[in-house]
Amino acid sequence: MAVFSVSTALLDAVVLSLIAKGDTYGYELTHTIQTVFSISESTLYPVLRRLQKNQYLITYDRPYMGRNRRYYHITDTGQTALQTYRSEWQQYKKQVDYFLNEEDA
Amino acid sequence: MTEQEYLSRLERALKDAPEEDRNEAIAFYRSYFQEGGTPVDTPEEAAERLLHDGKPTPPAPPIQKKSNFGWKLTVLILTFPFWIGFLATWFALLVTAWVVLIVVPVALAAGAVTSLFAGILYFSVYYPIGLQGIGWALAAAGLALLCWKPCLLGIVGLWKVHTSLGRKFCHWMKGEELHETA
Repeated sequence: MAVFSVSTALLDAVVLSLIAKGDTYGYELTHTIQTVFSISESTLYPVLRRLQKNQYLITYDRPYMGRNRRYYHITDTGQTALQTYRSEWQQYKKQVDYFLNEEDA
Repeated sequence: MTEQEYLSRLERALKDAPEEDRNEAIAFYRSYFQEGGTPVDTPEEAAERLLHDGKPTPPAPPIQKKSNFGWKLTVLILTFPFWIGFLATWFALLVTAWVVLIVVPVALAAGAVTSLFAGILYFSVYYPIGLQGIGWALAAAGLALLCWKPCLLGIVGLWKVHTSLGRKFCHWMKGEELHETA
């Protein structure tokens, strides 16, 4: 049981960052995230849907074993948003570290 | 839960969602099953999360009513000759009611005890009087036992009614919405 929860904005950032590293489909993405965070597919799907509606992501289908896999691809808008998320995160991390670090900052 | 069952329950849970959202969600979970995954949450939970995503039902902002406090206060002060008498009478009646409600059971109990003692003391002097005293004591004790509970309820009830009225009056003066705290 994690003490700190992953906020919606953080999850958005994590998903964007993962997809920026290479197009992926829902199941794979869920599994990759679950190797670090314990979140369920029903938490992740709304994130994908929202990012898609914000036009940070687009989807395309690619046939796989007689069916289609829906891949997610990051858009330019998504890339810009990701940059913002990254710099915001750095800043946020510094702010928290300022108080939480054991060594004198 | 089988894929079919999961998807039909999801479809039902999303029946009020826009068609595109519903179809997209069903496609996502279908392929999740096809990849060999099993959703950990129920379709209803999945639907709930999707429907409330991004809009975590914000608490309704309190409606700011104009308070009119000054006006209400002025009117109350100007009209005080009309209501002050009524209020004083009401207060006097209330205090009287409380006193009666306290005194009646206490007096009955005290009467019972003294009658009992008097009866016992008189018994050896002139037993009919003694017997009568004990009889009165029993009657008074019976009445006291009958009425102490209703009296207590009456005292508490009157208190609650009036504090609640007072609170409502204060809220009304300040022009606040009434939120009954159960």
